[in-house]
Amino acid sequence: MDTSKTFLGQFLNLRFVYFNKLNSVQTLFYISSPLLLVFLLTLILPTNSFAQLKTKPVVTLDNISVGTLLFKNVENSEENIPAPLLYTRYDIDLSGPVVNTTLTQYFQNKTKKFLEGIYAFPLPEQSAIHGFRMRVGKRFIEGKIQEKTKAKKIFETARTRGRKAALLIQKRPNLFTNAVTNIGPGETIVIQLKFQEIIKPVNEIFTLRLPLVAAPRYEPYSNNQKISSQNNPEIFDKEKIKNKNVLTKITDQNLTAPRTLNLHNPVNITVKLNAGFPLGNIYSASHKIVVKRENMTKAVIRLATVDSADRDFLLSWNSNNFKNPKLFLFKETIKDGVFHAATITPPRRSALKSPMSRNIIFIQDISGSMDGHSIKQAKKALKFALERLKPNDRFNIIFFNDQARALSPTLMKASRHNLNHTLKILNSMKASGGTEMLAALSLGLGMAEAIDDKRVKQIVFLTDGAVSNERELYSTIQKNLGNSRLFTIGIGSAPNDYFMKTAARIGRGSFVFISNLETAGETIKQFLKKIESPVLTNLKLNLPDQKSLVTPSPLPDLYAGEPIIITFKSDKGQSGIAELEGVFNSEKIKITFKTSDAVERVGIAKLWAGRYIRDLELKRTNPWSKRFSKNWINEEILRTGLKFQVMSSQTSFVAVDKDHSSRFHQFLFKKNIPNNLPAGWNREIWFPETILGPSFGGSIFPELNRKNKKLKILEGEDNGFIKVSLPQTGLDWRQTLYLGVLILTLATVLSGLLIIKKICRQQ
Amino acid sequence: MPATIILIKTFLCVGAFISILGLLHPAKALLGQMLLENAFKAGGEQSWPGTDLRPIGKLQFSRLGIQKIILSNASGQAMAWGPAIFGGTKLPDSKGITIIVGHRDSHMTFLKDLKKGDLLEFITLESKKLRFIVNDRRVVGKTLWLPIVTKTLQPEIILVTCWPIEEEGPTDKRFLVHLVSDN
Repeated sequence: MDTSKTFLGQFLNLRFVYFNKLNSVQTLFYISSPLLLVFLLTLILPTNSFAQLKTKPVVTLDNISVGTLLFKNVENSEENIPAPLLYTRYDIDLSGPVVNTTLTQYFQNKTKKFLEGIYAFPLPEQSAIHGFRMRVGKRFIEGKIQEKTKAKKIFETARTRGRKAALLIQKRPNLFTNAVTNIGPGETIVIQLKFQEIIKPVNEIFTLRLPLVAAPRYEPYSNNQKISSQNNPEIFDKEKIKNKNVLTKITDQNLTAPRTLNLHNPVNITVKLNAGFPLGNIYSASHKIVVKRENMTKAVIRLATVDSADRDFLLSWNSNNFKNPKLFLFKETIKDGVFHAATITPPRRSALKSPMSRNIIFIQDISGSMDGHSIKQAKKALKFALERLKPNDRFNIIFFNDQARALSPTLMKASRHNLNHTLKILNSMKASGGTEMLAALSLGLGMAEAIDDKRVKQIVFLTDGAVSNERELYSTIQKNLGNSRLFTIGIGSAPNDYFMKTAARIGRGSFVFISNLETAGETIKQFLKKIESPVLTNLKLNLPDQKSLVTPSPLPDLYAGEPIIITFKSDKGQSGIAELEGVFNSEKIKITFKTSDAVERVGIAKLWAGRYIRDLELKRTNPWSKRFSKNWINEEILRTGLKFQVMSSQTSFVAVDKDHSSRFHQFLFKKNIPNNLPAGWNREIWFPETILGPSFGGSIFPELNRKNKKLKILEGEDNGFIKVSLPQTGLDWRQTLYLGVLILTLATVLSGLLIIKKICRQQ
Repeated sequence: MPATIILIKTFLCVGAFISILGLLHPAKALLGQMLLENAFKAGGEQSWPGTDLRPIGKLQFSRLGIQKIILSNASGQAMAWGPAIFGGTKLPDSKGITIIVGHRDSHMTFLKDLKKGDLLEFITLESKKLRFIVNDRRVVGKTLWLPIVTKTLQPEIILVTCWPIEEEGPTDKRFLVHLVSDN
């Protein structure tokens, strides 16, 4: 700054000298006007010209709320084409909780240019894509699973050669993009996608959600557009749609012939529902549907009209009351062996006897790492659990930091007196000290083992999971579990997921994670309610083929409102009768089923592979394991993905048209385009806000959650947030410049006046 | 008429002085980036003698052909030369949030042109390219609650400048662009 000021001073001094010598009005004018011109030019230039010296003008799509399809002109990378018609069709086959979806998309190119379309779409996180094909004319081209980078290379080669090609990439666990290149003028390309998912009922209601996203409106990008108007969060609109609650009562009578509408992005949906239990209500909260019931357990659901894909499709159903758990068996035979999947659906809660009384031991982490917000959450969860105990239940609490202490040497009756006393002690608990989990776990398991009554034994472990000796812990659980069940509740901002999920699996229980005090109540309530009513316990599966690989292992219990799925793999297949043993309503029962009754279904092997890959992904989160290095996990996922032809983080589907007929296009293509192909086309992909949720399933900015009161609590130091004061930016140089130019203008006008005066005088 | 001539001269001088003063800022911003580019290529050297400004990376937005050298610490002085990392936040090469602040009327003007889905690259001193995608854009007040490092699953960047971008003078509003890792 200093040097520049002196430089400026010198510059000004020079000016003074120069003016004094000449002392002529004309000179003043001649000097001042070009100066002024330069300044005026600077002002006329766009204000951000400094930042955009290398700017290339790009016509892009407007920042639109819903929409994921973009077409790109392959001949000219700088021009985006209005999104053409995209027709979407969903064909869904539902068997119990297993959903097989065939998604067909029609890409149509109505322009006179070769195009590339990129379609980004969300899928449920637990889904496994197992089929991908492309239809050109009447031919189908099967997509092949390849290693991710290899697939991309194949696709790019095909693109440069002018061949039709499609590439499917997993961007995030629940987000996929599908790119189709070299769609000729007037051509239609059909992409078909098959995937499988498993849905879990909430409050005994099954809900199928199909994410539908529409093609965007085309609007040329204009600079005049105020950004503030684009900042309107689209979420609010979506919420409106959700809240509308357009529940349509469906009977066979309101069958209407499908209207043909001039919709921009039409979608059609057919669902074949085979619930496996007597069906109760079937309804859609999002669309008008037509339900045709075939028998007690089967129905076909269609959209009442062809609709525009501007909102997600929701379909819900529940069961009529039935008394016994229902079993569903599927199988698939491939060259690697025979794969089975058995789904077991519990009867509705209302059909069950009153819940069994329980022996329940809580193990509460009060180590230093739990201090602050975590301990508050844990206490709240514990209080919740204690309040829900029935008079016949018995309970105990073990507190641990560097040592473990039980509230009482044996389990106590859940009498009002005992509970009040416990709550008092609980309130005074403070978190400090180290973490000696092993002692607490051994104490809890030992205490449970010593009990000898007919009650169900449950151990509920509340911790943030900051442990280092997890192997030892696992083996202790495995050795001493007996008839007990271990449940883990993860607390705090960054609990050790891997440990807690694994501990719960070995402990034949389940895991729940609480992140937020405000929503914790509901989560905990659901969890506790679930574990109150085990329907079918001590499951044991006896298969004709003893060598079968059964997952999950050990088998978990069946709880009210939550079906379980058991997959097993055998080399030669099963023949004969299989048995499922378990305890139902305090009695030992046996469900026998013929393995030959299994419904042959494509995708069961892939279901197994998908589960295996998910387990591998889970191992990633294990921060201590050296055995499961990142490379090993990636390789194993790649191996499994290639072997079973499933999409994963390491594999992509690619389909290339190798037929001669595309030679013609090749020629056309080559003739028209320069060699520098549109590089980095994928940066034009547009992601809808709803599916990109990096920090908190949406935006990191709490302001965005204004409408959602539950999330507002996120603002606060206790919740792992810090307050940041953002600095003032802006140099305000333009104001200074304007002032200077104003004064210069005055000087110019004055000197101009002087010249005129002089000329007048001379005449 | 000597009085008028003196008046004109004074106007001319004062006008030129003030104008140059005003132009100094954008000139500095332009020149700074050029000098910093050299320092960046040299692997984070001192930018020029007698300063402690150090580049720590380069933000690249190829759609508009924008390249910005990012400085290590957002002081008022540093921000005149280039956008800078806001004190206390980390580099974008690991999970957590990086805040980068810059002047709305020089380096960060381009923020208004960023759209959801835009791809930006952050190049580290080791020439490692980190890909980021625009996830969200928002106008907020001047204080912000941010999740701590452990709460984010991936590297995230927040670009900050004042709002409204086209205006000048004191404001309580900030414009944020949220980028998430695309690696």
